[in-house]
Amino acid sequence: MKKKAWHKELKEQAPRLAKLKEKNLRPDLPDGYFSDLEKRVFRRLNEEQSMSLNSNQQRRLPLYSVLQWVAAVVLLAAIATWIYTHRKVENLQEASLTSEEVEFYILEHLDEFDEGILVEQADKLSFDWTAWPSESANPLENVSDEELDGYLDSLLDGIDETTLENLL
Amino acid sequence: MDRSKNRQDAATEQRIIQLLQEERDPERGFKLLMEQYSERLYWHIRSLVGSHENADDVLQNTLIKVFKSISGFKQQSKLYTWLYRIATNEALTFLKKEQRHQTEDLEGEGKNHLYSLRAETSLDGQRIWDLLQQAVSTLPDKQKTVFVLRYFEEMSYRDISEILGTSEGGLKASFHHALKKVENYLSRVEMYI
Repeated sequence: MKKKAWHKELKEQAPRLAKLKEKNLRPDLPDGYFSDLEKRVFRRLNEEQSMSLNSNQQRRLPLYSVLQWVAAVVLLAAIATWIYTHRKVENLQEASLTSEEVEFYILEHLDEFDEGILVEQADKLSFDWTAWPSESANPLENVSDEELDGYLDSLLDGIDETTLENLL
Repeated sequence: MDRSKNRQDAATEQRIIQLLQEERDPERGFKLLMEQYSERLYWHIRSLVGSHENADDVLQNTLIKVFKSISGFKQQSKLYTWLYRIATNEALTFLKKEQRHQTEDLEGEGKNHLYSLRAETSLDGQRIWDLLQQAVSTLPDKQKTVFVLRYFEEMSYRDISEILGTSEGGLKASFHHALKKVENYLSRVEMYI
């Protein structure tokens, strides 16, 4: 009933369109189009799902590389911290030496001191060279080991511990 | 007769929704949906986009979108109006993309089409279809959609209103304008046929 009324209205308002409506308006379709549609849609769905999986993996790649960088930085920071802490501990150990230990160390390693430095320090301390047995330009020339040892003993007596520590 | 068909349609819709929203086997529901609605959706899309190739492409996009978003279907409208809404949006989006790519070419094609119509001596189904498509393509989106749904599919204003989200009064006005424009177009072309 409604359809009849609608067609009547259409005829009044648009006679050409009403006339065309009576004819077969639908063009031909490829054979089996709708029976094949289901397969094609499911194929596309599968393709899209696999593409979406791939793109998710690709999207992850930058994240992985960022994580790799972060891991590398953390590792480097850990190594640097360990080295810094280790050195600090060594310095602390050195810093905590008692004056007896320092004195013992100096006596034990006296032979390792540079004699030139010691003489230079003696000059700085205004050491009295007249007490020195040799008169040559080089005070260390023609001096026997025993004389030198004796001289160094007297020289060391004139240098305080702090100056000796600085010479180490 | 109509009432029993409506009841049957409603039962089928409910069955399809149930199957689609079940996590166990949504593909079964989707197959049933395709059996039930593919052809109607195809002709609706074809009326909007013209060629079979384009309609096939848009129909597949529509069905894939339906499959992906069916879990979010709240049943606030009929399943078939929801399907038509998706199909219409897909078709109009497709047309916009096409227009952007081929604005200049379309003018040329229109002229060629008119020229070829003059050469034809009779109007078979394909020729009528092409002629109407050409007329419909001149309409703005809203009028185009209302015209296709009302003229080709003979859909009620209530259902069109559900699809387009426009008042029935507004739809009647749009259809009236569209009808006049297409009729005028046909009268201009008629002299060449």
